[in-house]
Amino acid sequence: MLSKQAIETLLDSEDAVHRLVITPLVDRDQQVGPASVDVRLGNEFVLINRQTGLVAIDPVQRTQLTENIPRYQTRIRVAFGHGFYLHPHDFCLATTFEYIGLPPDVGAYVIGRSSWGRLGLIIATATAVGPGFHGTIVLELANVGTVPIVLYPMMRIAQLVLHRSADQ
Amino acid sequence: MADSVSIAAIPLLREKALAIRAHAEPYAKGIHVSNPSIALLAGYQVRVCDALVTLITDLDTTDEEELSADLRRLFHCILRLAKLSRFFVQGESPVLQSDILVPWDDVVKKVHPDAALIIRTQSAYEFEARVEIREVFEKSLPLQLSLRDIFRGFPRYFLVFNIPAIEAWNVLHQTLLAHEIGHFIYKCQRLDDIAFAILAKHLPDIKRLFDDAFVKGLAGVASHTYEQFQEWVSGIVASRFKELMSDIFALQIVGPCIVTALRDFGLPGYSLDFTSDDGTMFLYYPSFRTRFLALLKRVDVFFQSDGSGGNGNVMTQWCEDLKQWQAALLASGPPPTSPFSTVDNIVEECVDAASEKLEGSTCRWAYDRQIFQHEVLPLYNRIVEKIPPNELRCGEHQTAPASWQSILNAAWLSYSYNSAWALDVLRFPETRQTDSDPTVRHHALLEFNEFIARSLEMAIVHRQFLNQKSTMDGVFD
Repeated sequence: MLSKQAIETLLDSEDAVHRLVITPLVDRDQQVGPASVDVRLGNEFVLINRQTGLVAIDPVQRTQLTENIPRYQTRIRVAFGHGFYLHPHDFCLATTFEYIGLPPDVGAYVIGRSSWGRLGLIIATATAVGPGFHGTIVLELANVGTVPIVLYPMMRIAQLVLHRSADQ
Repeated sequence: MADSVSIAAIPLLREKALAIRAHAEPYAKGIHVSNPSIALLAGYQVRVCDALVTLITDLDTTDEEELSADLRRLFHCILRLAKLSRFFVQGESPVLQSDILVPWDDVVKKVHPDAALIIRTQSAYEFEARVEIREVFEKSLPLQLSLRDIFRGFPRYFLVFNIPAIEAWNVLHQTLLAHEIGHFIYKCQRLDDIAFAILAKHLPDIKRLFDDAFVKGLAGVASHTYEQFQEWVSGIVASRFKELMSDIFALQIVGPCIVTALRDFGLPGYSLDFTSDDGTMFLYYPSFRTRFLALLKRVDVFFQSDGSGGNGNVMTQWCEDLKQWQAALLASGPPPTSPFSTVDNIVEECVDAASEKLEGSTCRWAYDRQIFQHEVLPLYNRIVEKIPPNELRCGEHQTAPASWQSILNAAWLSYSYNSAWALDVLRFPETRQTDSDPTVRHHALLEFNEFIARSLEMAIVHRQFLNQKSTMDGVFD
């Protein structure tokens, strides 16, 4: 697990290949913790529809699966300052606001922040991010509580715990 | 007593006014509305509809002539209101990402604080601006209504920018919105007066042009009297002057990338010297050659470094290429006997006079050339490294969002010079297409566009975050 100092060094690296890119890091002092980096919620959501008319999702039927996606999902953009309501037992896909670029020898785990967990918000089921990953991280958000949760783009939603690959 | 047809029309009109109101109401309440200008316009739509319903209910049916005139006016008003309703749907098109539109709205408000903006898509392949929705209302509203009451708080200028639906996804082509804002600046600066004064000075030239018109083959003049011809030429001069000034304002708003954007949008479809004398709109537009020359003459100022920012190779290359293109355009200009050269000379004089008038005036909406020099190269380098060009280092451990104009310029720079992407790049002095498969090229362009759109959005939201963090009561912590 990388310490704050190691993370800071990677963020400031002059070497483009081995630099850790987290952009924008809007509040670096607040977001870089002792052994993690907080990431914020992006503004695009893919909501999984409740009423789809589908009998089942069959991963073997790949063509059918692709065709059914518009019935299964609704894409929603939320302007800055506006909220997105995640209702009880609803599930949606979201992304981190930050673009992440990991060096080839650094991997990461996405972990929900405990303050959200206590409210019933589950974040990310596929938590491992491979070394060398470039892009925004997809978050799987589920409200397992009993009341709607309002999500605002740019909230600190999760944390990245970084680690080096063992053979390095 | 009024006839039965008029009487029968009354409930139908009321029903239509109520239907328009019902359509506008959710937008007025801000339901699924990301652009606050749409909610504002919808609010006034509701208010006008309410006033119309009251008016229709209270119509005097005793005087047939008066009723018929009232109904005619009401009918036109409702027709216009129905047309305005389309703005709500077209302005909320999902391809127009609301956060990306924030800086355009910001520029408009810097030009005139009492202005609001809606950007919507349209099927026609053209960028277009309309102003003065208020005038639309004022011309069509029944005389009995108190306009002062209805329009209390309504923006002085309500701009509607139409962008071709097929280009709405293309954030690079949205650069051309700067030209449309240029029209608005032209209007606010009242530059028409300059054109009228210079035209008055050139009346003898216009007379000479009229006498020579048949010899030089200016079509459509044969049936004109001199007075008609003078009015016609004045209209062309005023219109071309407005277009050129809007280009120059666009250059001040977004910087050198407007030249590239205009070239990329315009030249594949039209030749440099295309002007039509068949009465179509292009008669009222200057040729692309004239437009580019006016821009290239003024673009240099952005590249004049004060030494602190430094110019990287690619920036120097960009500047050199623009200069070379200017020289090439000047060398291959249209023959001096062209009937339009007189018109173009008068227009050029207008542009010079306007530039002189505006020199030294403070423009809050203008893009600072020092920001251009400091930001564009580092952002371009980020694009080359495949890192989104959304922020810049501003101190140890500190970063700041890049300005949206710098991102656009860096993107156009990359689009023009990064041949590895095999796009429809601009190869000075001629536009050429690469030999690669058009589908592959288009996919590369889509990917690049998404990358830049996302970067722009990040920078804009980042700036909004910094501006609003303190008022959001700990939401982001």
